[in-house]
Formats: sequence, structure tokens, C-alpha cells
Amino acid sequence: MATRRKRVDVSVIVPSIGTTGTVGGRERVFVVEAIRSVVATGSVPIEVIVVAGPQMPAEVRTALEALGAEALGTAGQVRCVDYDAPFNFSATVNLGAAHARGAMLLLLNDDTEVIAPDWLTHMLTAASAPSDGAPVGAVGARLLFEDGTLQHAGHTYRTSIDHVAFGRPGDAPGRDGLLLRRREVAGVTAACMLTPFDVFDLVGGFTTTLPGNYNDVDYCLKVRAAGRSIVYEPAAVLHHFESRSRVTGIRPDEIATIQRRWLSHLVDDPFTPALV
Amino acid sequence: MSDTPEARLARWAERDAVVGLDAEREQLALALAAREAEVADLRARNEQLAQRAAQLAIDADALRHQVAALQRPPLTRRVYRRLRTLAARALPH
Repeated sequence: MATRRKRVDVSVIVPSIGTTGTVGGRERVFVVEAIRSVVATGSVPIEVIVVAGPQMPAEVRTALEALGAEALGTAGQVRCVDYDAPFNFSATVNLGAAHARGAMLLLLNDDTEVIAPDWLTHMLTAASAPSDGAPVGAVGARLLFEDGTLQHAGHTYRTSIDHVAFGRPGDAPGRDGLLLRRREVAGVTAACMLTPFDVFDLVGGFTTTLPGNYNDVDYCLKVRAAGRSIVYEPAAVLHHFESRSRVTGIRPDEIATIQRRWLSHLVDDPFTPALV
Repeated sequence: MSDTPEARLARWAERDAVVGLDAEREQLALALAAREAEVADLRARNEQLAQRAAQLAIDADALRHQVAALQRPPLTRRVYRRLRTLAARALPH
């Protein structure tokens, strides 16, 4: 008798190599805690696909699969897909999406942790609500550093590619409260991005020509070029434990690639004022 | 037809390449339009400058004649001075 597979609404894709770090003075395996927080707050049927780099320790993989069986009640709802090529973030995202079954893809960095329990509901609601008539192609969340300051409240592209209100207090309202209301933005980070599978499929996923930086910028601009809008959802709040002083190591060829494709879209931002 | 992970990855690579080329083509078209507009603008300004230069040359000629005229006393003044000199010599001291 054929086994019916459990229905999946959202496929959560988490590229990871099983890195450990310290949060709040306690050591953790980032990806395990990220997924623990996701499965504890999943408001709809989800699957989690961890795109595991070659450095992923075997015990982390075992912990993840056990976590899925415990939390989601079905073996296989958290599964690892091996990625053994040289580092390319876009390729890992694409590989995860290639194995996805959900109508929605939720791209998530492994160094995140859910804060708002209803985060996914808010993101799904934002994804289904057209902004200015254009169907939504991607939704981003409000991401906070460990100290509670803003890591992400949407992208802004105005002579440079920046995060809106980066480093401000996490509950800062911004001008006219724009940091605390759902609104259209130029782009959102792939550290936590919800996007319909059909949109991902339409635009060809993440470009592997940008392996490290700007691949989410490129994706958002592809989505916008396809007539979809990008939305920031402030009620979806997560921690992003990325270092505030992270050196991005942007290479000249990455700058050249993003400019070659999208220069005219990177000189003015119709969505976010210059001073927030 | 089954949509295997391999088929998806191949399809996305192809689509991304197409979308990327379309985007690059659009950027090049915009750059070309901007250059063409700049060339047209410079040509128009060049035409304006040429006309202005011609007008200024005419003005300069007129001024040059005025300057030359101002450099010599009027004929009557010169004749008067000459006659006065001759008269002074002819008169007994």
C-alpha cells in the first residue's frame, strides 16, 4: 500500500554547516536551536530542509532529524540534504528548494531564533495581501541582534545597498511609524524570507553567479521585475545572531554583477525615505 | 512528468540566465539612451555655441573698427593742428 505523505504548506530551507556559538553566555548549535524554535511555533504544516555542508557534524544531523520526529510527529519532516560543492549560498538555497514540497518557501539562516510565536502566521498573511495591487513575491521579517537592536527591517537601495534603520532600537517606530507597520520595501534579506514556490520557480531561484553577497538583493529585484512586490512584516520578529561587526567581504566582481544587472534600480528607493 | 530536484535545478539555472540577460540588456539600453541623449544635448549646445561665436565675431569686428577710429584724432582736428603749426611758423617772431 502506498504511503501518503503528510501535507506541507511551508518548506523551511536552512543552509548550515552545524556551527556552534555562544548566545546569552551559553553555547549552542545554531541550527538546532533555530529549528527548535521554528517547529515549536509552526502554525501550519511545515517541513524543514537543512542543506548540510560537508562540515556538518554527524551528531548535529542526528539531533536535527530526531527533533523533527519529536516536534512534528512525523519522521522526515526535518531532513538533511547534502551539499558538498564549494561554498555558494545561492546554490544551497536552490538545492533546498529543489527538494521542497510546500507551496511556500521560507528561507532561514541557521543563526536565527523565533521571538514572536505567531511570526509565520503574520508572514503568510503578508504574503497573501496584495500591496498596491501587485501580488506579493517575497516577505521579510523584523530581525534583531542579540542585544535587541535592529538587524533588519527591509532593504533600501539608494546609491548603496543597506538595511533600513540598521542598529536602531528594536522597537524604534521610525518616521511615521514605518518600522512598525507592514509595508512595501525595495528588498528583504534572505536570512528570513518567505516566497511562494511558483515565484521562486518563475524567476529561476537564486543566482549562483552571486555566491556570497547580494544574492537576496538580486532575487528581490528579479521578483520585482516579474511584477511582484516585496513586503516587510514587522510582526514577524526573530533574533539574528549575526555579528554586528561582521565583515561581509564583498568582492569587486559581486558589485560588478549586481550593477550590471540592476544599476538603475540601485540609485533611488521609491519605498523608503532617506531618513527613517 | 515528474519534477525532480535535478530538473528543477537545471530549469532554474536556465531561467536565471535568461532573467539576468534581460536585466543586463535593459541596463545597457538605459545606458545607451542616456549616452544618446547626452550626445544630442552636446550637439545642440555645440550648435548654440557656434551661433554665439559667429555673432560675437561680428560684434568684435564692429568694436575693432570703433577702437581703431578712437585711436586717431578726427580729420578736422588733425587738419586744424597742421594749419596752426604752419601758421605759427609763418608768423614773424
